[in-house]
Amino acid sequence: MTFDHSSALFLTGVAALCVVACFHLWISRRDQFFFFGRTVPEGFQTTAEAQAIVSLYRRQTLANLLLAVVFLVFLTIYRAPLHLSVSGVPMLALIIQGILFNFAFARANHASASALEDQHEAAGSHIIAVPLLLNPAAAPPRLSTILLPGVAAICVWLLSMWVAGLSPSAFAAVVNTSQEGFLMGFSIGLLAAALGWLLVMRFARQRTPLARFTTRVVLAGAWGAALVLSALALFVPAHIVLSRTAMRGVGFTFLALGSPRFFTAFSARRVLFQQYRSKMAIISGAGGSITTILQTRPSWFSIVHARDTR
Amino acid sequence: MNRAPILRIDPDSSTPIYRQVVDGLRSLLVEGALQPGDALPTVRELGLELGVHFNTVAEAYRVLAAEGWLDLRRRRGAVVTERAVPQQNPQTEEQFSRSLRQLVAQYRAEGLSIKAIRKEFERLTRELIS
Repeated sequence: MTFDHSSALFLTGVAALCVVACFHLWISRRDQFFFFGRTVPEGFQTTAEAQAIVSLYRRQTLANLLLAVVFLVFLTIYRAPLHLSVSGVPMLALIIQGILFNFAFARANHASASALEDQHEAAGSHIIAVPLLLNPAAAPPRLSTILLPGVAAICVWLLSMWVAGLSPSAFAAVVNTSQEGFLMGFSIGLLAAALGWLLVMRFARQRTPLARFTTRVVLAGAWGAALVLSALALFVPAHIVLSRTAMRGVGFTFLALGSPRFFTAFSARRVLFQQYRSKMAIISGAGGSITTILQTRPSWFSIVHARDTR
Repeated sequence: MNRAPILRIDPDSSTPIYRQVVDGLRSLLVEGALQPGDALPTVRELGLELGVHFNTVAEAYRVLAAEGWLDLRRRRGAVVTERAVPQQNPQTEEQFSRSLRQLVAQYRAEGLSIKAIRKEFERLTRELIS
């Protein structure tokens, strides 16, 4: 039996669809606060309504997977008449699965809201109780907290320019050397910032645990972006342009560090994980470093000196 | 003694939130759950916990400061102060009587039984005496 390139891609597509479906199923796991994007009171997840919502969502996710696989088979068969590339077929199936997931998640989100509303009505009223002399939630001024990373990055940038005695035109010339990478990073940064800003505005008035978590994530992202900008600011006056492989390595490190944090935040065992947070940070940091070395080993030292390439 | 004063508000109530915060804090102050020297959360912290805008909490703090319960210090939050009990005057007594009657009438209209009202009055009296 021959196993050609398109068969391998088809099987990879099916595997990718299954992995994504597993992720979709995983986010239906019950958590202390988060339930399909809603902040819920303790014990809500065990109610019959909540269990029905989870059950329906899981069935819809499996149906979505089935539909996506059928779509993949259809596209694989009719790929030539539809003028599709081999790699485009699984991508289209993944997009369809993503769209269907959005519908299932939105339905579960609305159903959760209705169930919560009913619960509040049944309880008569929704009393909020706040202990006054215990540790309060940290509440730095939001605007200054959002602006601070950007201001810090700009300060680093200007300072490094001043120290290196670099004129704007010389800086532009260095940027020109790494134009593609710089523009890509800049546009991704802008997109991330816009998304972060939207999320903060969206949750500004909803001070629920979910909103607080989102705000914290956005602010952490803003500081991450500021760090990257600062690194760029230091590299450019020093005429250093990181090779694409090295950048990929850095990206892998970020992923290795960020992914466990993201997953544990939404995990039902979050409290347990928090106890071992420092150990997890060390493990994921070590994992990230190993990945970086493996990724960049052949060209780790191929950092290009822009001055030489000009 | 480990004090744990809890402020409760009902967002669905027709009473404005700032008024609920004022009433809730005043109750805790009168009952002695909050004592002179206690530092209350800052307006931002309490706003975050209650899920209301910080100006709502600031307004409530200002009302209590005007009544002499709180000392408001910039960036240091509100601190409970020693407050001299003002002299009772006949006008206050009359206002209290009228407010109480209105309150009882409101809850009687909502179906609260006389027995329940009496029970609550007795409990309150016991608490005040003790």
